[in-house]
Formats: sequence, structure tokens, C-alpha cells
Amino acid sequence: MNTKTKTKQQITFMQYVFLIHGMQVGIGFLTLPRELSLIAGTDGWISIIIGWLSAVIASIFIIQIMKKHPDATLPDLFKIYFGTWIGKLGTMFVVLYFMSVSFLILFSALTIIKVWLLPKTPLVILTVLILIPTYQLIRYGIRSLGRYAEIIFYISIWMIVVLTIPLNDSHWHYLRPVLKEGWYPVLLGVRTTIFSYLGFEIAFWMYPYLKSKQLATRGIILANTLTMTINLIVTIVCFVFFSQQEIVKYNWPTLSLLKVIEPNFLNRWDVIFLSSYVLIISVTWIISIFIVIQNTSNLIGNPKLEPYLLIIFIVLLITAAAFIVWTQSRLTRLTDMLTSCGLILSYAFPVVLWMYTTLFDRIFPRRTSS
Amino acid sequence: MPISNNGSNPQGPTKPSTTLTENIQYAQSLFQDSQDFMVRQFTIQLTGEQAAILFLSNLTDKNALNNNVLYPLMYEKSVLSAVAISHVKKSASWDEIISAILLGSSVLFIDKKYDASILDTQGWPQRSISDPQLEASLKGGHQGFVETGSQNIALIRRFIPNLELKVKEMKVGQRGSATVTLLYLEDVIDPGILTELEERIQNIQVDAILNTGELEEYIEDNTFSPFPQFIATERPDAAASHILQGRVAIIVDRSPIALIGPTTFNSFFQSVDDYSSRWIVSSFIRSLRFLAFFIAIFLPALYIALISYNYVIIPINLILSIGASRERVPFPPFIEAILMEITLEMLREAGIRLPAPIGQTVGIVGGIVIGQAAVQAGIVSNIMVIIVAATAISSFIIPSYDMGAAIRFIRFPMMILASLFGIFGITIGFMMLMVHLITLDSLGTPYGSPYSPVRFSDWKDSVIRLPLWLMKKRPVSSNPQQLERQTPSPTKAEKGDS
Amino acid sequence: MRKLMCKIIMVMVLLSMLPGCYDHMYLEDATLILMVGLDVNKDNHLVVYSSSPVFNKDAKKKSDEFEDVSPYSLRRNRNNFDALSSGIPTGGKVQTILIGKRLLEYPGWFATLDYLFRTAEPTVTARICAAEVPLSDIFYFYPENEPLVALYVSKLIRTSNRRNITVDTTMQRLHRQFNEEGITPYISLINKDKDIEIRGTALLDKEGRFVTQLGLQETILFRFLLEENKDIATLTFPAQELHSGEQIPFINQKLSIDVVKSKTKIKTSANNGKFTFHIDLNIDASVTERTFPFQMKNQQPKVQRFINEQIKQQIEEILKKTQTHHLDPVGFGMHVRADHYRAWKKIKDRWPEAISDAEFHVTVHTKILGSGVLQ
Repeated sequence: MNTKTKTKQQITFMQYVFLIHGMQVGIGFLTLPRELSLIAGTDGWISIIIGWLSAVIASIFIIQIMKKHPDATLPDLFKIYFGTWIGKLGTMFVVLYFMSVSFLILFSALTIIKVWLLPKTPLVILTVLILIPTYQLIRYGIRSLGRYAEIIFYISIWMIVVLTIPLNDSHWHYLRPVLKEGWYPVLLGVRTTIFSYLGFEIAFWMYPYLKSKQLATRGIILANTLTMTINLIVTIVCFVFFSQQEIVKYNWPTLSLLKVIEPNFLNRWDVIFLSSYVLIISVTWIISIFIVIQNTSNLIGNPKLEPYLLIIFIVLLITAAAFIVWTQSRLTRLTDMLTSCGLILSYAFPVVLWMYTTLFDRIFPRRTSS
Repeated sequence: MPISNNGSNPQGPTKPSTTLTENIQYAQSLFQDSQDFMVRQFTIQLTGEQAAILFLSNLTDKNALNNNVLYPLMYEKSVLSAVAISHVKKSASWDEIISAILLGSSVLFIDKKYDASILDTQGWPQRSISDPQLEASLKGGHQGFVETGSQNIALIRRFIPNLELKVKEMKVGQRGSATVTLLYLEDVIDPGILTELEERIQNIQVDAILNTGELEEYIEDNTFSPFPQFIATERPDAAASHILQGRVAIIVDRSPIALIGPTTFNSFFQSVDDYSSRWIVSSFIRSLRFLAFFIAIFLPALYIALISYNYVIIPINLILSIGASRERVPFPPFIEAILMEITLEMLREAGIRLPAPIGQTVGIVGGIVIGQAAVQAGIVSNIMVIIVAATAISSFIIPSYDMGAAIRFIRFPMMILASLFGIFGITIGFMMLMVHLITLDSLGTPYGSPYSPVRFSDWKDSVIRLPLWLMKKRPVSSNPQQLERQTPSPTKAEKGDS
Repeated sequence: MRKLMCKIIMVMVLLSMLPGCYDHMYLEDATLILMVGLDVNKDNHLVVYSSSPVFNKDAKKKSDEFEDVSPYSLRRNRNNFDALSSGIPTGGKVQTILIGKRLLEYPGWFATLDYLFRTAEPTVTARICAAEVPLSDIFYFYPENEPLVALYVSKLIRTSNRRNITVDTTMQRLHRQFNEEGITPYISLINKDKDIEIRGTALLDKEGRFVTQLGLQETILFRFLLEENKDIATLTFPAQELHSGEQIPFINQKLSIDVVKSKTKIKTSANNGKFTFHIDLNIDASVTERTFPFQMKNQQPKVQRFINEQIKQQIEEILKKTQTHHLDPVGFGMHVRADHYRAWKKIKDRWPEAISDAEFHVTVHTKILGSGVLQ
């Protein structure tokens, strides 16, 4: 049987980067080209870069907050700065948010799989299947999550290469002239792109596990940059391949893009791609479930309950798959709601919290951090 | 140090008495129905004392007993202390004496002396050193372990003549107490791992350990995993190589297989020949092994998935020929595949028990004729035969028998998943496999290293083998104290280190 | 706890397998539709054709064809095929889609193909081709050397593409051409006499109606303009003016070149709504055929000039043809949009008319790499 798990598991720098990056890369980049095209036309790629800047700034604020108490997680910080009861309220919000995120990501991904690969198989069965390795991974702790995120990244590099194959058949002058309608649509487009960077807020929970804490800022910037690069490549390839009129007609331009690739020995790369893509998205919901379990056990105050909480949550997910019909419109509504929440949690909240905590520390000089 | 005694000494006296006849009677009463228990009484010429030798005749080297013990004492003027036996131990405890007799030593009792001498005259039937059965090597040595622990330790000592090589003995098993020896380099190994291993061995409560495989099951991290967590090797050079990398070799007396731990997934794809061949050739063969790993696990499942669900991936020319050959087969692809795979497994298992001359013929008959006939009868398609053959060959490329068996087993759940869910099923299977490897530990160190957690420095000896002069460090996975190879120990000065 | 979890997992896995698999489609049960055809028959009904291979080795006929007159829609039509064929028709491997010429007289036919884009299962790399004969001639044709007419047609289109005598319009590309303001669609064109043969390119207007066509050599030059030329491009010119001497009957003086490399630069200029396009074509070629005596050595510049003139002429004729028909298959509109965005915005809704007023200046530069083994 298992040897004693170390009481304080730790993750390395690269694992930290890949965890954050993996959380950010979710469903977003399948639909991003279309959304961006609607608002900003072919200049949308500039919005991606501006979005990156905002994400990086918000990330730095998060790290600055976490630096004050290196070993504390967010619920602990809540307790220190807000007192027990408001702290618990805050933690509850966090739990609810991540619960919804895990529902959303899991069912969105499985719905896409259903549409493209297995139309008649009931959602419940797909859910059960994919939750088995999820359970195992979360049970083992943050160390396995870090390793999983790391290895998924390395084995997924080929997908970016494959995405550039359709460039043979592209018209680069679709992108010209740059800034054809001026800066205004580009800035509007930023609203869409910042959603694709959502995920760096998990640094609140990853930071305590990081072995070499001084690299935290560098790490989160690297993660954001990786996400930006992928988003940029995908969006630009879509923009030069599809015409502007065309791209808005496709729900998932990225997948439709892959259908075109036609090497001699293997056709229909979209099927292959989608199957591997499940692995990348899985990082997102696995981390979300992990955070839910962690914070719930923190709320209740008993870390030993974590395995049971995990099972309860998984049963909840399976029940939701079995009894609720997840239509595309339902998912879209949930997405809108959550992205607004995410906007506040990831972008506004760190800035506010940092200012609050800095003032708090000035007024009430604190004892040295635990 | 004895962990448990043989259980063969009920409430009797704990110490021998000073009267020779009493001791002899007591011993004879214990060994009542064992006809091979001998008592030889004689007089020591020099001192005139009455003495007796007690031994089990089947376990004793009679030459040593006669020439080195009896003759000098009886006919030459020798004293006990001058007896020409290398290992003499005085004992005043019946427990020890009985254990010693049962293990093959002979015990000398002298009248009016209460302590007996245990003489090392062990000699039992043993095999001479021969080629290792499972791990044949082209360029390496042809010496394999035998069934006597001391010989095996000797073979390893030949490779590492070094003070830091520690040989620690433990006894396991209440009834058939086996000597388990741990060999390791003291200044290289992680002390935590060593303590963990010792603890596990000490906690074993069992009748007897008959061979290494049983020991492995008691001390491994996860018995439910199909993957082996210890390397089982018959070669002393492999064992020595692992010891030098910071691992522990476990030798069980009476078993010709040594266990090595902690291991990683990677170690099962390394073979001794890799380091004797040129590094480019070895790298190619290594990569071939990893490719074989994937083929053996995923090829039949992929076939089932593509034919049953996602035929669009197959290019058009192949589809027509596959379709034509599948048309005649009455079974769905899953049944066809399972049928062929199980037949192959049965053939392979049967082949182990067949004597050599018959084995060749049956192989040809079974493989070629029956396969061909099955295709013509329309029971299977020829594509299936090719796939099964490719899978079988791939699974035999893996150097480690345990890992090969694990791979052969994992194929089947993968096929089931593919038949139910197509390519998505294979993705799920792959995910489960990966998660399992990530969360598996071997003696507390991550099993999936160097792939997960990713440790680039260990990649020099994984899918490729870089030249030896580039591999300056020991693998990080076994967490050694001393990372740099070829460094003498800082505490003791000695010559001839590695 | 661990054991309980294992038991639960096993039960769940077994339960999930109980109802059996849902989505399987065994290859031998599928009727792979390899070629689809849409046409209008003599009674002015829409007809859908499909051709698929038969897997059974003992069957006499190698392929199955189905015809559906007046189908409700392409999707429903699939259900009708279901009733007729002994397998389950699937569209995942369609190689070619043929459109009959009579159908090309009607606008908006492209919308009937929506089903093929909307569901994930069918492929989008099928080549689209117009046919000058009624489709029943093609679908019920059983060539001797090739058992399946579907494979024959797709191979024909593929190899013709390599020789550049037709265009490579897949469904995806056609979809893009219909949804792009700065270009008009073009698809391959085939005909059937004794055998099925490629005729070049069919040019369509924005609604999909057939307007005019480009022959084989014209298509080669057209592909130069598109910068989409592949391996082999052979151009042949009547070379009377190069030959000083009497005309030899039957053996007409011809000069052929093989183009090794070509590069096209298109520059746009806009003046008050009038567009001028400067097309600069750079060709590296080697002479492959010369059916008349000629001294190559000192007259290389003369030959080059001759070829430049010939190509320029032919291209100008092509452009004039497209202009008079209000077509823009080359996609000059996209260049205008890239370089003169404001001017483009003004006329983008009536671009096909606007291009008829445009001016084209073509310059060709040929470099002769050699003349082969003979002088």
C-alpha cells in the first residue's frame, strides 16, 4: 500500500507554470476566433496581445499578495485579514465559483465530444468514464496534478504544429490592412480576449506549494505568455484561412480548420485532434475540482474528510449529467455568467485585495508570517 | 540476526548441559523422525575428551567434515581451536544450535564443556553457474545467478570491490526462514529508502518465502498495479549496474533472481547490451522498444476503434481493401480481435511448457498453417492476423519479462474501451494509464520518472542512450546522496573506486 | 475505504457497458458513398446520384449507384438511400461532388450542400466538379480499367491538378469562395465522350450560376495568376513567326516549354474608383519541344521575347473574358481590400461590376534555363 504521503507536498517551478497554463487553456480557444472576428475583424489578434498585458498585470498583483504570507492559502488569508466569518463567506464564494467552473468545463468538453465523435452515447456514460482517472489523480494530491499538467503539455506540442499545416492554403492579405477600422474595435475585442486568460487566479492556491517561491512571478508571466502564444497562433491561422464572412458561420472554427488537412496516410485530423484535446481540457476541470475539495475541507476544518468530499462531488457531477439536459444555450448562459464572475475574481479582486491588505498591514503591523 | 526462530524448540532447556550424553539424547529426541540426522561420537586425541559431532547428512559437505574436522581431531594432535574450518562459532543456546544444524552446519559438543562449536561445513546440491535463462545477452557476460545466496553475493562483489558495498542480512519467514540480503553502496543510497525497505521486510509475517516473486509482492507499493515495481534480474552485471546507480539489490537465498529497487518505468526498457553496443545503434533500439510498447498496447484497440467507429481516418485505398477482407468475417471486429489475441496468448503459454524439439514444430504449425487456414475459412480477416502478429512481436521486444506481461495484459481492457467508445475510449484508456503511472510509487520515489515528473537530466538514458562519457550523474530518480559518478567517497580513502 | 471505492468503480464501469455500444458503425455495414452528384433532369426535377463500392468479393458489379428524384433535401435523401442500399450510407469519405450543367443554370444551389458542412461526420475535402453531360452518363459508366467510376473520377481530378490543367476546389475552398466578397467561384469541369476527360475550369458567378469556362492551357495560366501551380506546367505556342522558311503542312510549328518556377506580383492602384492592376509574372522555364529548325544559341533573347508576348497575350485574353462576364476568379478584390481599404469599402457590394471597368497591365519575364538534351 501507499507509503506515508508527505504532509507538505510540493511542486516544481515548471509544474507551477504548466498548472496555470493548463487551467487557462480550456474551451476558449476553440471559439475565440469566431468571437473575436465578430467584434474586431481581422485585427483581433492585437486584442489578444493587449489582453495578455492585462492578465500579466493582474497576475503580478496576485503574487504580491501571496508573498506576504508565503505558506498561507487564500482561505487562510481571508481569515487573517477579514476575520473568521467573512473569511468563511469568501471561501464559500470561491467554492461555488469553482464548482460551477468544473461543471461548465466538463460538460462543455463532453458536449463537443458528443457532437463530433459519439452523438448517440448518453452523456452520463462519458462522464463516468472520464471521472475515473480524475478521481485517481485528485486523490493523490497536488504532486500528481503538477506532474499531469507537465506531461500533458509536452505531449501536446504536436497539436500546435498540426494547426499550422493549413497555412499552405491561406491568404495572408486577409490580415491587411492592419487596423483597418482603427483602434476602437480592437479595444472592444479585449473584453473577449481577457476571458481566455482566466485561470491565473489559481495562483492563489498554487503558490503555497511552490518550492522556490522567488520564481513565482516569473512563472506566472511565463504561463500567461504560453497561453497568449497559443491563442495567437490559433487565431491568426483561422483568420488567414477563413474569410471574414465565413468564419462567423462556424461554431468551432479551429476544428473545422483541421478537417482540411489531408496527408496520405491519415485523414480527418479533427477527430484525432479532438480526442487529444480532451486531455488538455481535463487539466482545467481537475484543478477546479481539486480547489473545490481543498477549500471545502478548509471550511469544515477537517482535512481528513477530503476523500469523502471528493466522492460526494463526483457523484454530484454524475447526477447532473444524468438528469439535466445540457443544451448549447444552457451552456452559453452558464458561460456568460461565469465569465463575468471570473472577470471580477481574477482581474478586479486581486487589485482591490492588494490595496486592502497593504493598508491593513500598515495600520495593524503584523507579526512575521507563519 | 534472526528475526524469528524455527519454531522447532518447544519448552526444553535453553542451554546445553555439560554432560555429553544428555546433549546427545536431547538432540536425538528433537530430530526423532529425521533419518538424516547423524551423531558421530569420538575421542579427541590430544586431550582425550569425549566429543560428538551432530549434523544432517544431506546438508553437510562430507569432505570438509571428514578431512578438516574429524581427521585432525581424531588422528592428529590438534586442538579444537586449530580445526581447519574457516567459520567456527561458539554457542551456548539450543535455539542457535538447532537452527545451525537445520541450515547445514555441524555442531561439535565436548564433554564437560557447556558451549558447543558450530562448524561451517555446509554443502548441498547446487547448480553450476550458467547462462541466465530469461535475459540472454549478446555481448555481456554469460554468468547468471544460482540458487545459493552466498554465490550470488560473490558474483556481485566481483563487480564492485569496494568498501562501501554493504551486505546486510535479514531473515524472513517463520517456517522456511530465508535469508534476505540487501546490497547497496552506503555513500550513494538515500538512507530513507533503505530504512523504508528494511521496515517493509521486517513487517512480513509469513510461513515461508519460496522465491523472489513472493517477496516482491509483500514489499511492493501497489499490488493492484499490473506494472512491476521491482526489477527482477538474473544477471550479476545488471544488479551491479543498478547498485552503482544508487539502488538496492535484494538477494533471496534459494532463488536465482535478484530484486532491484527503487525502480522507474524507464528501467524496464534498459538492457545490459545497450551499454556494450555503439550509442547510436543502442538509441535506435531503445526507441524501438518504446515504439513497441505503444504498438503492443494500442494497435489492436486502434484497429477496433477505427473499423467500428471512426473509419474516416483511414485513407481511401486502405478502406477498400480492409472492407473487402472484413466483409467475409461473421464476427464484429471486437470479437474477432479478442479471439485472435486469446489464441495467441494460449499459444505463447503453451510454448513455455513444450520441450524444445516439439516447440519449434508447433510454433510453425500453429502460427502459419492455422492462421492461414483461419483466414481462408473466413473466421478472421488477414488484416487481423497481421495486427496480432505485430502486437505479439512488439510485446516480446521488451527486455523485462514482467513488463512484457503487464503490457500483454493491458491490451485487453484497452480493446474493450475501444470497442465501446471508439477513439474516445482509447483516449480515456491512455489517460487512465498515464494517471496510473503518475501516481505509482516505487519505495516512495515516483515511478513515472523521468517522464513525469519531467527530469531532463535523466533523459540521457531513456528513449535514447547518449554516450557514456556524457552521463556524469547518477539518475535523480533513486534520490542518491552522491550525484556525481566517479567520485571517491569523501570520508574514507581507498583505491579502485569504480 | 479504498476497496469500497474499487467496488463502486467496477460496478459503474460494468453498468455503463450493459446497454452496449451506441455509436458503432462497422465498416462492412457501411455503404461508403464515394461520389455524389446533383443535377436537374429532363422533367426539371432535382436528382441526387450517389456511387459506392461493393465490398463483397463475389458480387458481379463492383459498385452501387443510387438515384433519387425530387428528394426533399439532401439530408432526407440520405434516408431514402438507406431504404435502397444494403448498408448504412455514410458520407465520411466522399471524394467528388459533381454538379450537372443544368443545375448550374439556377442560382443558390450551393445551399443544398449545407448538410455536408453542418454535421461533423462528412468530409469537406471532396473536390467539386461541374459536368457538361447529364450526370446519369457518368454515374452509370463502367470503365474497363478502373472498377469504380468514383475512384476513376477522383484520380482524374487529382492527376489533372498535378498537371495544372484544372483547379483544386474542395468543398471547403468553394465555401470560402462563396463567402468572400473579393472573389468569384471556380470549379473543375469534366466531360464524357468515350471516356471521362477534364475540360478545364468552370467559372461561376456569385450565386453559383455557370457563366463561362477556361480551357486547359488557359487554366494553367490562371493558376499562375493564383500562384497555385503545382509540379508540371507545360505551355505550348504556335511558333510560326519564329520559323523563317516555308510552312510545313500537318506538322505545325510548335514551341513548348516546361515551367519550373513562377512568381506573380500583383500591384493595385486606385484613382477615384478606377482600379489599375499591374501584374508581373516571372517564369523560369526550359524548352521541351520545338518542331521546327531553329538556332537556339544566339537567339535566346528572341525566343524569350516571343514567349513573353505569347503568354501576355493569352493572359490578357483571359482577363478580358472575365471582365466582360463580370467575374473575378483571380481575386483581385482581395488585393484591393488589402491595399486600398477605404476605396474597397465604397464599391465592395458591387465589385463584379467594378472590375469590368478596371485596367490590367501585364508584363511577363521568362528566363530560359535550357533546351534539354538537344540544341
